[in-house]
Amino acid sequence: MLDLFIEGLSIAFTLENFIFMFFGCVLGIVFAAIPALTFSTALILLIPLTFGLTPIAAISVLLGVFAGGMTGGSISSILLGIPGTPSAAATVIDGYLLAKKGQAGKALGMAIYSSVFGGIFSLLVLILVAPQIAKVAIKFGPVELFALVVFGFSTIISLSETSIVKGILAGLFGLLLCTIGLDPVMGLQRYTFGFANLMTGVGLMPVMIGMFALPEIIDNFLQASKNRHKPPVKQKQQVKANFPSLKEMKEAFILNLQASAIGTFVGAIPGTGGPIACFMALDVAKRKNPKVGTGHIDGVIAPESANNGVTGGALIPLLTLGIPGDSATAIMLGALMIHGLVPGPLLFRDNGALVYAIFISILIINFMVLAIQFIGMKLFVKVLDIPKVNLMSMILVMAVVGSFAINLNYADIVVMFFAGLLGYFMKKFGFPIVPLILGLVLGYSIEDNFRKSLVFSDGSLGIFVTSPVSLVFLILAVLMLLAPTIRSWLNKNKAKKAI
Amino acid sequence: MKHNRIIAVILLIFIGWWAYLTTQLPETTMPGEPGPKFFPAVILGLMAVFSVLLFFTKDKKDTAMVKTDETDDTDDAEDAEKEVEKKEEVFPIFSALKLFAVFFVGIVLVYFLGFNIGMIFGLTVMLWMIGWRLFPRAILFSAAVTLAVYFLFDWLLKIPLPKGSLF
Repeated sequence: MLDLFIEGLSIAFTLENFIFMFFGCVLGIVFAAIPALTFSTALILLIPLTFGLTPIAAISVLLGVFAGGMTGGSISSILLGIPGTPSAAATVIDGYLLAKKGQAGKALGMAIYSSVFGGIFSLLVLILVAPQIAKVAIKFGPVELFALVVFGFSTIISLSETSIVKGILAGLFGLLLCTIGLDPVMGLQRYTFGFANLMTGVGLMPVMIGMFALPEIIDNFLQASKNRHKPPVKQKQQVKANFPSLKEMKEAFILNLQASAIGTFVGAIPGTGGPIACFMALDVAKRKNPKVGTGHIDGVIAPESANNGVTGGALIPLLTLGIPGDSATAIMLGALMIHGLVPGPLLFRDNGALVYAIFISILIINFMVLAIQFIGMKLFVKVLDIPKVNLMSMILVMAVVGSFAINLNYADIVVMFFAGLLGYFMKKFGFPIVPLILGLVLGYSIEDNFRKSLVFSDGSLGIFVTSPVSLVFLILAVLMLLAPTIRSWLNKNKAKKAI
Repeated sequence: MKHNRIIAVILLIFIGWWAYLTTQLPETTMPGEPGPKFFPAVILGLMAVFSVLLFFTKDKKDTAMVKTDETDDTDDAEDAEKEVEKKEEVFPIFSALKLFAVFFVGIVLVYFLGFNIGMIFGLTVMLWMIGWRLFPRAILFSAAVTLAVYFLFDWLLKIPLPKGSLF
């Protein structure tokens, strides 16, 4: 094993490898930070460029994009209030509120630290217990996946802000939006109204961009309109780029650990991915600290640790079993196979040194991301020095491009517009937006796995309680949904006893 | 409460219409499989229940914890926090709708005349509406932003932006 490790070190520590890792990290951060681009796009664009590279350089550049992308999504979430990637959707809630309070630098610093923490944690898990986790993860069939996703959906309760009823309605509406397009099992068209563009369903990114960006832009425009006759106020706010102090790191340690563990575990389960992990981690943070959701740093720590925990987690089934956990690892699987490497148990036996080289490269990539983001952070916060109307105008144009560029589909711009309009009214009438996004993220998975499970069981619902994993997750989901009712009942009882 | 009641009624009408669309979906042909109607029907059922609940629900006040004033008499005044109702500035919805409408016209123009013309028009009019009365300034700023984004995506990143169906 030591021989393989030393050989892995010699493969990983080459100038060529370092250059490609750096290039991948920068590209991933940039693509994720711009709402119009995603790091999956960067991965696809890079595949042809990796043909002429050595296997380790090819994998390193892709891993750089993956890790950099997971971290970079927080930049636009915190500074602009638009998630750069679906995985950064949970970061918007507290991150953007912190930016509004003039603490963007603190939020960015903590996001970077938490991301790297999550990345390194998941790498350690990948090195130490990957085969064991892979054995558990592979047992997750449609039944268990359905229960896990329902459990994830039950977090809408903690995301419901002032009204649980409104939060649930928003979440259900998100699920309903997922039913537009092709039916996941039979492939029939549903609610497409004759529009071919709707066959692929309602895109997550256009909805997210519309719902988060447009209400903010319109409100800022109206504010500017209201203040137009007032003497100009110097808008420049002094935002310092802060990296967390040792004390803050210590305070965040337990939450970082919990969120990273959630990210790694969820990431290891094929068919899940970053957004589910982030919302689950945010829910944990909210339960520990009720101030999360009102612009608290814990609301940045949890999702950022979780989404980078997913990077190592998603590599567990990929490297040990050859099963990609999400779209990014599916692209990486293709890249590995192009270079003659077949992921799975044989990869560890036949190319042990290369596997170690990949592990070492991931570690270096995490430190590279930390360094690049730390230096870049001072530049990123300058965005907030731009006058509000000018900045919002730029975001408006980017929102149009961002919606269009993902699928090069004009209909996505229209979807973004109506999502923005709906988001504006939801905001005005106290409906939280995040549960709707969560519904949209999870809806397809819930329906697909539920119906597949029933096909396996010949229509018997009993399949969901005969699987112990499913049963546990469903009980947890019910408890989470009933928690506010139980809590208020207990409080009433306590009050009665006190009298 | 009044708003909640109106929204609940609108939601129930929407649910009724969507339920009608759901009944038009074909039945399943696979044994044991609930078919394409099942999932939307369950969601609509739950939405109907929660819409009725919304009709009778009063929202909690949106509060935030703020540090109390230093002049507070309590010993730990500097660290003390109190719960206050959050007050966001409320803008007239009609003004917002006008901005949305102009943006929508811009989007429609993007379809017919392309990204550059559509966005320059939409942004210029929006800026004029919010008080940039100097048209050349609004046009120049809108054109600069739009063309910079166009240059970045269409030229540098080779991501084609809408050219306009009329061209």
